[in-house]
Amino acid sequence: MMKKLKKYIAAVSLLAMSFLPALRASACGPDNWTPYDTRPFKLVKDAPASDYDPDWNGPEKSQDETCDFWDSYTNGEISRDDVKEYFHEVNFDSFPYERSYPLIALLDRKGDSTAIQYIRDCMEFNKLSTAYQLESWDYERRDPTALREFEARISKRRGGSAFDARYALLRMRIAGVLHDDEQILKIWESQGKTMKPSALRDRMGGFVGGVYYRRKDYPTALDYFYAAGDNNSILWCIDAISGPENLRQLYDHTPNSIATLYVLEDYVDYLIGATYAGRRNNFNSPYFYDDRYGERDDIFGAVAQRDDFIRLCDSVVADGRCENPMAWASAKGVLQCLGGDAESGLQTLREARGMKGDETALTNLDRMELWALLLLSGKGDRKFDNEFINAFSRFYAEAEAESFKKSRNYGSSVNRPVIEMPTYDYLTRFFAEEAIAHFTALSQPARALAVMAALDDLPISPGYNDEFMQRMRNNIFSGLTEPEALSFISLAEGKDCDGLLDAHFHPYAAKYINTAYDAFGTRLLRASRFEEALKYLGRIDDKWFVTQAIYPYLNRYWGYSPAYFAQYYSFSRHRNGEGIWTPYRPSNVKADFCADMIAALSEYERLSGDAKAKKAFEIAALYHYASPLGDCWAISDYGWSSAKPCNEFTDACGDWLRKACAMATDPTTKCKIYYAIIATPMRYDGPHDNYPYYSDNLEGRTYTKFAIDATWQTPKRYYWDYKTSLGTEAMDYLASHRDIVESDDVMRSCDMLSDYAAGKFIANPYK
Amino acid sequence: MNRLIRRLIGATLSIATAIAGLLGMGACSREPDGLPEGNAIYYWRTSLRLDESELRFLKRHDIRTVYTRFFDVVEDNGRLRPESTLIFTDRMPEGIEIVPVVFIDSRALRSDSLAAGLAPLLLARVDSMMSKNGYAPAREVQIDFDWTKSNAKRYFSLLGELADSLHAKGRLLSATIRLHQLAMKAPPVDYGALMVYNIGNFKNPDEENSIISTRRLREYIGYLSNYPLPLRGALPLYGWDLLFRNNKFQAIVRGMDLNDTTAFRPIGANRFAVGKYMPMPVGASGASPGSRILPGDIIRHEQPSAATLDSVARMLGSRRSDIRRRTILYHLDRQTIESFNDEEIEKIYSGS
Repeated sequence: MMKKLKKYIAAVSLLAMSFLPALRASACGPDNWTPYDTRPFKLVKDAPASDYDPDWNGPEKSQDETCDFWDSYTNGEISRDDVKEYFHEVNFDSFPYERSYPLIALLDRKGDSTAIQYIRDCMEFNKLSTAYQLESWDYERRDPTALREFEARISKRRGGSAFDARYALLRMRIAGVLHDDEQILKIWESQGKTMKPSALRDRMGGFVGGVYYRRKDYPTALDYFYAAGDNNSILWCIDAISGPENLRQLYDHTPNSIATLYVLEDYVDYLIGATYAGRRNNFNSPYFYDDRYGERDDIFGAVAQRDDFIRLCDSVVADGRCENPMAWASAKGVLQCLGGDAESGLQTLREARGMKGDETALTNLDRMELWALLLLSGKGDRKFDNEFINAFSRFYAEAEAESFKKSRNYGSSVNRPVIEMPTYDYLTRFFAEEAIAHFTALSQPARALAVMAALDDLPISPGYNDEFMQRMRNNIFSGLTEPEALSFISLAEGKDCDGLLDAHFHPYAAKYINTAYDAFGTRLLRASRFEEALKYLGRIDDKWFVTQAIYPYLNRYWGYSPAYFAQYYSFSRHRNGEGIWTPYRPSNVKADFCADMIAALSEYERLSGDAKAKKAFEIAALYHYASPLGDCWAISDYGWSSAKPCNEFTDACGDWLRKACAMATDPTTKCKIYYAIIATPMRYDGPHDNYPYYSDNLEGRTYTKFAIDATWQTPKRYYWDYKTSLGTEAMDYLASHRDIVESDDVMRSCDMLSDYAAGKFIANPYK
Repeated sequence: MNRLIRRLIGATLSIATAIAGLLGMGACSREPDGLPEGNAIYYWRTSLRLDESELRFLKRHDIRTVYTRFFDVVEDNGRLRPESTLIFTDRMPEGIEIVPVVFIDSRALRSDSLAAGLAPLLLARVDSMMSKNGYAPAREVQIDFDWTKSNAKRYFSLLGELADSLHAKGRLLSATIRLHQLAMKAPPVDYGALMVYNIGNFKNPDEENSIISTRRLREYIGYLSNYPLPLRGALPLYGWDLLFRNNKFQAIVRGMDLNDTTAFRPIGANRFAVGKYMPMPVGASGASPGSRILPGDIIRHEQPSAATLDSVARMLGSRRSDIRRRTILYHLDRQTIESFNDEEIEKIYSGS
C-alpha cells in the first residue's frame, strides 16, 4: 500500500500535473446532492486524459508517453513494463541509477552518454527541488541559486533532438518549483508552443495554464488545462467563472471557447436542479424521493435569471459569431420547458437541430428532446405519447447496448462536469427521476412504477442495481394507497390499459408481476388479511421466490410442523446460523403460511376449552415465527434489522398469547403459555418507570420482555417491567409450578426464572 | 501552584535584570518588570512581504513589535516537523522588533513521546531563521497552542523547557491565551497574549458574531481579575463572510459585495439572503470543487466594529490594567487594516 502510494506521489511530483495550490486539491462532494448534479445538460466532451489506470492511479497519458519514448529510443530493446517499472521508482529523494534496472543496464552497455546525462539531470533536479522545498528542523533559507544554476547548465545541454523536448519540460518544472511564471511563459513561447502535439507538450501546457490561473485569466487557463486533461484544474476554473453574468462576458470575449461552453452547461444544469428542488415538495409520496437528495431552500433568483438567460441565448443564436448555436438554442429550449411551456421548449429544441453544432451538442439535444417529450406525454395527446415512446425506445436500446465498464466509468460527483455520462446514467439518474415525478404529478402511479420496472430491467449489469425494483416494491408494499398499488398490478396484468403509453409499459410491468403480487400480498398478510393476501401471494410463480434475496430465510418455514412448534414453544429464535438452509427448491412459503393461518383460525373457531387455548397458542407461535423475532421473519418483511425487531405480527402474537392464557386451564399448557409471555416482547401501554424500556423505531409503541436465557438472540434492551401485571402473574405462576418447570428442558434452563423462584430476581439491573 | 508562582516571579525578576540592560540600548521600551508595552500587531502570512499600505500602517501607528508567525509544528507519521515556514521576501523595517510566533497543531502534543525533544528543536529553528535572514536573535518567542485539560500538563512541560532555555539568555517566553483557558491553570510563561477573538463557533448558524462580541466576553471576564499571569490584549481587525445553506456551514467567503442589491437581500443585522446563482469566490475556505453560491443561501457578515473593539478594550482595561499596556492587533494585512481609519485604530490602541 505504502509502496503504491509512494509511487503515486512520485509520479505526480515528477509529472507535475498539479498546477494549482495544494489547498484546492482536496475534493469532497457537495452536501446536497440531487439527481441533476449528474449534469444532464452536457455540451463539452470529456477532457482527453480523464481515463486513469486503476493499477497505478497516475495520468495514463503521460505514462504512455514515457513508455512510448523509451520504447522508440531503444528500438524496442527495453520492454514497456521495464520502462514503467523504472520510472515508477522515481521520487524526490531517489532516482535510482542502478544496473539492476534493464534500462540503465542497456544505456550503460551502449555508452549512451546523452541518455545517461538526461537521467542524471533528472536525478539532480529531484535532489535540488527537494532541498529547495523541504521544511526540516535544520532551517535553511530558500535559495534558488542552485536551481537557477542547474537550469542554466541544462539549457546549454546539447542533448540531441531526442531529448530536446524533455529538457524543455525539465526547465519548465524548475520554473514551476521557483514559481517563476515569466520563465514558464518564455519556455512555452520558445519551445513548447511549436512542439508537435503530444502528452509532453500538454504537460508543459498545464504549467502555462497554471500561470494564467494565477493571473486570474481563467478562460485561457481552462483551454490549457483542457488540452492537458487536467480535470481538477478545469473544475477550479469553472468555479471561478460560473454564473450568467460571467457567461455573458465570456461570450463577448471568447464566444467559441471551451470555457464558454462549460459555463453555459454549468448554468443550465444548475437551473434544472434548482427547479427540481423547488417543486419536489409538491410530491407527497415519500418513496418517490430519497431524503439523501436534500433540498435547496429557495429558488426565487432562478426564475428571474431564467428570463434574462433566454434573452442571452436568443442574442447569441442571432449574432452569428457562435460556432455552436445548437448548444445555445438547446439551452433556451430547456429553459422554456423548465418554465412550464414544454411545447415551446420542444419546438425550440427541434429548431436547434437545424443549426450548426458539434457531436456533443447533438447528443445533448437528443437527450433534452426526450425529456421535453416526456413532459408532454400522458396528457391525452396521442401524437406526443407516440413520439415519446419512440424516443424512449431509442434511448432504451442505446442503454441496453452499453457495456457495464462504460457506465461505471462514471466518476465521483466532484468530477461530474468532465466525466462522460453514458446513456444508462442519463436514463437512470436524470430521466428516471423526471419521469417518476411527471407521472406522479399526473396521478398516474402505475406509469411511474412502470418506469421503475423498465429501468430496473436494463441489463447493464445483471444484479448490479436493483434500486428501481426496490423503490417499486416499497411503494406497493407501503408507500402508495391500496388502489394506487393495485393500478400497477392491473397494468402488469394487461387489464385496464389505456392507450399507447400503457401498451408500451405493459411488457416492462408484466416482468415484475411476481414482485407486485408479492409486495401487495405481503402488505395484506402483515395486516392479518390472510384470505385476501392469498389471492395475490397464491399467484406468484414458485420459481420466482428462489431468485429473491429473502429466499433462504423463507425457506426455514419448511421446518414448521406441530412437532416443531412443540419443541420451540420457548418462542426463541433457534435457527439463526448457517448450515440450516435446505437446498434451493421452488416453494411458495408465504402462500403456505396464509393457508396454514386460515386453517388454524378456522379450527380455532370450532374448538373449545383447553383445545381452543392450545390452538390460540399455536396461532401465536405462527405469528411469532413469521415476525422479526422468529426464524422465518422473511414471511412478513424484506429485511431484518436489530434496530427494528418488532412489527404487527409481534403485536398479534402477544394478543393471541393473552387469549390462550385466559382460556387455558391445564397447568402444563398454562406454564408453556406463561413462559412464552415472559419470553416475548409484549406491547406495553402502561406507565413507565425509569427503566430502560424500548420505545423507538416502532411508532411510539413500547415492548417489554424478560431477558430470558442465554439462548435468546434478540437484543438485550428489552427488560422486564415488574409492574406489568401479566408479567408478574406469569412469573408467580411459573414459580408456584416448579414441578412442571423442572420437568421441562427449556424452562428449567432459564436462570432468571430460577432466580425469581429463589427470590433473587432483580427486576432491572440498570435501575 | 505556589511553587509555580514563585518560579514565575523568580524568572521574571531575573529577566527584569537582563532587560534592564536592553532598555539602556533603547531598542524598545519595557515596563520595570521587563514585560513589553506599546503598539503591536500580528503578521500571520506565509511570506513576509509588506506593501506600502502595510508599511505606512506600521509607521503611522508607532508599532514597535510585530508578532510574526514563523512556522507551524505538525505531526507527520508519528514525528513532529515544521510546516508552512515563513519565507522572508521583504525585510521588516528598522526599529521594529520581530517576535517569532510558533503555532503548534493540536495533534502535535497528543503524546509524551511526540513532545519529547521538541523544545530545543523549536528554539534552534527560530534562532536559525532569525540569523540566516539577517536579524539579531529574538528577545522573545511566543507559542500559540490551543491547549485543553487533557494535554495541558504536556504543553506546560514544553513551555517550562522553553522558558528555562530562553531565560538563561535573558529572553522572554509568551503564549497565547484563549478566553476559555482563563478558567484553567495558567501556563508557565512570562506573560500571556489574551486572544479576544474567535470567541464563538463560526460554523454555528445561530451565532451572532463568532469573531468577537461583548456578550460572549462577559462570560469569561470574571476570571480576569485573579488570573495569575501578566496579560496583554490581542484584538481582531479581520472580518469574513460565512456562507450557510439549509442552516449548515458551507464556506468562508471573502470579497463579496454585500451592497449589491441584485444579489443580496438584507435579512437581519449582519445577515444576507443570496438572490442569485454565483460562483464561489476564488480562495473560499472550506468550499469543495464545484461549489456555488445559490439563491436561498445565507451569508453572515462578521466584522468587528471600531466601537465594539473600543468597548472590549475598555472592558478588559477596567479589569486588568496590564492588558492595556500592549494591544496586539490581528493582523497585518492590507484588506484587513483598510477596514478601519487611522482614528479608529488609534482609539483601539489607546484603549480609551
